[in-house]
Amino acid sequence: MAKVTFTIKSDATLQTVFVLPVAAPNKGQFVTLKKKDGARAGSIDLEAGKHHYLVRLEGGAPEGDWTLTVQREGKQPVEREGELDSEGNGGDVGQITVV
Amino acid sequence: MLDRSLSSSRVIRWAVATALPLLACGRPARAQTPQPTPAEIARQGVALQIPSLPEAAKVRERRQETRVVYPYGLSGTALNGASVLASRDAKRVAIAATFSTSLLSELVVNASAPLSEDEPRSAVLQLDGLANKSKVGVEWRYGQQRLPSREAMATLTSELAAICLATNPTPEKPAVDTGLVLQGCSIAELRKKSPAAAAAIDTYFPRRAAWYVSLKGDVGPETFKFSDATTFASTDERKWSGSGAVVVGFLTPQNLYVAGSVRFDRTYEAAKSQALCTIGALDQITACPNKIVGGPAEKTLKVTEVELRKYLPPIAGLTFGVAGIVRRDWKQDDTTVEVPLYFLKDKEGGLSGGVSGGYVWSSDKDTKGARFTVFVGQTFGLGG
Repeated sequence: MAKVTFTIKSDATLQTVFVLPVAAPNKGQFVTLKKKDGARAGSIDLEAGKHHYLVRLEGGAPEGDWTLTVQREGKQPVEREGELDSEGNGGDVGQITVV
Repeated sequence: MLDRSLSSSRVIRWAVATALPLLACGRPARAQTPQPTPAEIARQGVALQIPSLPEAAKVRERRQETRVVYPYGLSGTALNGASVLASRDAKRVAIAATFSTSLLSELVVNASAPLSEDEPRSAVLQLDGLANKSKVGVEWRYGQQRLPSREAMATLTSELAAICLATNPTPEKPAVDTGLVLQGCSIAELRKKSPAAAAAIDTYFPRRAAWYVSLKGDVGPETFKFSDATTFASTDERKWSGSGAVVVGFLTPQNLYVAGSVRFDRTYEAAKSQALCTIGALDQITACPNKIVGGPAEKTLKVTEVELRKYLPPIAGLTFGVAGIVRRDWKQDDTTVEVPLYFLKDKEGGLSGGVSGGYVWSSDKDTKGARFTVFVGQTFGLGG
């Protein structure tokens, strides 16, 4: 098991993170986020292997920037950046492979 | 970590656990007691409200489709424990302790003091009579943000991830040891490029309104130094100011923030300064220092306020936020309309300043009239 922390920097009012193990699609989990140093962060324990993730951002500035940092405990962080859409919604979706 | 979610299965289990004993208790009683006929019910004026089966099924289905969480981004911090915050921008030092009182509510105990009483906050939006005073307070918040169920989120996440992985090449192995490989797509980009992705988001994670209600009260002491109006002897007096408020806020699916509040403030204002000195002789010039003469006067506010906030479409890459505030002070007989336009950014990139125009209708001629203000230090966001 690896402790993985999601940190989101965005002005979006509503922020939701969901992680889904590819090998066990019925074991998806919401990640509880808390404010931390001007961002919102939450951690989850992930088993080695592939996991799908969804970060949903709602109620932010139109075309506002967001930054997602995913960090495995004791390792260097991986960062992704993007923009919200013209209505101020957006987020990130994809796959995390814990090696 | 405290899971603040209220799963639908938990709700159903609670409902079954509560309802079954009641039904079990009710059955023997009904068996022993003759049931009234519809004519008897009508004669006794008793109306039984029994939800129809399709309605009950609809409610049950909605509960299973969604889960409800506290909308901490809309109201509050979701920060359990104590925090200390000293902000030069807000010119206050604040201590707050937040406790979860249920899955959908939290209690905040706070204390704050101004860093400098000589530098009050911008007048814009300053509706709190205790804004520039030391105070302690309690706030209870309750709110709801409705999210898709785990099953719906799993389906959506799988579908979107599949579309993303099919269109994005596998990322190169990072040069540093990250212990994981990340391959992602911006949802805003995915929505533009893939109708299937847009349809999946609209089906499984449609925008829903989130709302909260907050009840709060503050109290704070202030010591007033002044000269007695009769004897002119220096004296001081400590007064306790207090305020209470109810705030209700909604974030609509169109990202319009609507808030309404009712506030009661009882504060004290120092009397006006006057030049005060002793005249030794009529032909002698004497410097007369200004002193406050007389004790503080009580000032009571009973304020009703409605506020709308919305981001405007970007213009030349600049972000604009606009608010509309209508405020009625029933005690002072003042009505204010204010339209702040935010466009100045703080160091974090958020909107925190701009210009504001408005008008004050008041029985006081000095107060009545148009207002135009340049302000900073007021953070703009779609939340309370």
